[in-house]
Amino acid sequence: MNHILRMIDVVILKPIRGTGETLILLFKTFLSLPWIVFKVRETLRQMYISGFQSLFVVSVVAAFTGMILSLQAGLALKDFGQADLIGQVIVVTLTREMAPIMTALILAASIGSAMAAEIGTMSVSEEIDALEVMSIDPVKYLLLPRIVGFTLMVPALSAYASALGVLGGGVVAQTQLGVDFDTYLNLVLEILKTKKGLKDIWVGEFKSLIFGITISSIACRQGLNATGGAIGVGNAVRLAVVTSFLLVIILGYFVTAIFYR
Amino acid sequence: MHRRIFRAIFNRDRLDLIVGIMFFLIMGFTGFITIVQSGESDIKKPALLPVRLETAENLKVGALVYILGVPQGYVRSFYFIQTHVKKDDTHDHEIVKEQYVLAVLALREIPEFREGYVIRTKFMEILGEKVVEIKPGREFSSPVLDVATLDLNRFLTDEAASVIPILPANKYLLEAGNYDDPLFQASMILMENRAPFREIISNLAEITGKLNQGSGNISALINSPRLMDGGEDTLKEIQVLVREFGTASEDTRETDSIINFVTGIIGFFL
Repeated sequence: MNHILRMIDVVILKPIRGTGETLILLFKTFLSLPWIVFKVRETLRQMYISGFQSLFVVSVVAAFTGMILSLQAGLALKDFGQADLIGQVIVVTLTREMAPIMTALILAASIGSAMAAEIGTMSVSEEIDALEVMSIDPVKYLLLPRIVGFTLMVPALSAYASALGVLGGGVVAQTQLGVDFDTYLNLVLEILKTKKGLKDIWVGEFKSLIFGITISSIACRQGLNATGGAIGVGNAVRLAVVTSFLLVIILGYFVTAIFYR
Repeated sequence: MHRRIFRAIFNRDRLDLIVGIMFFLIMGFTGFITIVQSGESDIKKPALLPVRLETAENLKVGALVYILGVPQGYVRSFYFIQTHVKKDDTHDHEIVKEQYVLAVLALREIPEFREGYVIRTKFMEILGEKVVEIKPGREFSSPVLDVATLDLNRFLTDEAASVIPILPANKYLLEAGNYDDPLFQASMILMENRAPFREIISNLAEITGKLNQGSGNISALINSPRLMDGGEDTLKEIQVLVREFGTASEDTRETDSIINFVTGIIGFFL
């Protein structure tokens, strides 16, 4: 019986408690938002780390994703003599889904893991306890600039990834499918100007915002809960990345279903 | 012992547990709404209007339904209905078999039908597909009461209702006419009168042959040298007449500025 209760605790209750803790932490961060004015410098530093330092990876992945999409979908469309419509396929796929999810996954793996490791190391070396002893709120001091900086950078990088993916797709469309680049770009711009195109853009940005909040809060929570030295930090990083990946995919589906169903 | 462990598990971080459970409940509910439930919301659900057709010839399932020229739905399904009805005009109330086609139209909303309403199947374009056209009737006419409609939920869930829709009792089933396009009707006339047309064509061929050979009255007239000379003279006279008319119009154009000047002076003095 004891064994069963402990199993229930580990398998079912622990993840539920963890989720609750993350949400409460997020709520506390939200309440601390007015203190952001005192943390502008640190927030900008986090934005630089999340945004600028990930720029190269995001650029390469985005450009090649657009190119792969263009080639794969374009070859299929070419069979039906519709290769000219490749711009429409790429812009819709990238702005709606691919760019936000791709950016979120890259940032979860690179910045989210680093964030969890940084806070986790502080936690196992009892720096967080020291902050609390000095009456410094770790939420305001550590979490607020990280969550805000990261959350602001995800939509920006997602928009950048969409643009770069569209350009990469255009290059492949011209060289491999024989679609004129100007025609491709005109079609893309025409689609983005429509009501549906604008909706695609803002839903994609909203999705990125949700992903940003999710990844940063999970990383911070896992970091804060890290115990047991280097192994504990490693576990926290692993859990942060895995949970972020899962939630990005699940929330991505829900947001799409809610807005496009 | 068990109770102590139970308390230890559930009393620890109770708020976290409650918030976590709420989160998973919300996720579960969202999952149910977005994954399990049908994609069509109540707002998008169409209204079903059963219509009695004489024939469903050339009309397909999915054909558009136009109300006053605006596409408002489509033909969802057809049913061939056979019923026994009592004939009232005979003294012995003879029972006859009535056969018709019931078309179920899926519309965004059912219009208010008034006396003089028109529902008909027709070809929208010469080479297009057949559609259903609805004109609900003018506003000053009296409304058609108790128009029969079908319940969508019952139609989707009740197997019997989806095989042959169960029409509500004491309701008025709208009737539709059939209006085929002139091209289609012309082809039908051609098909029905093939023998006379063939005779006409063979006669024409015979006449053309005679013309070519120079035999027969018309060909004799055409081949007459006197007629040819007369025609040529007429053409020459027309040519002279046209040339003279051209010269006269040029003269008029030249005098146009003088006339304008004179008109201006007279106008000034008057």
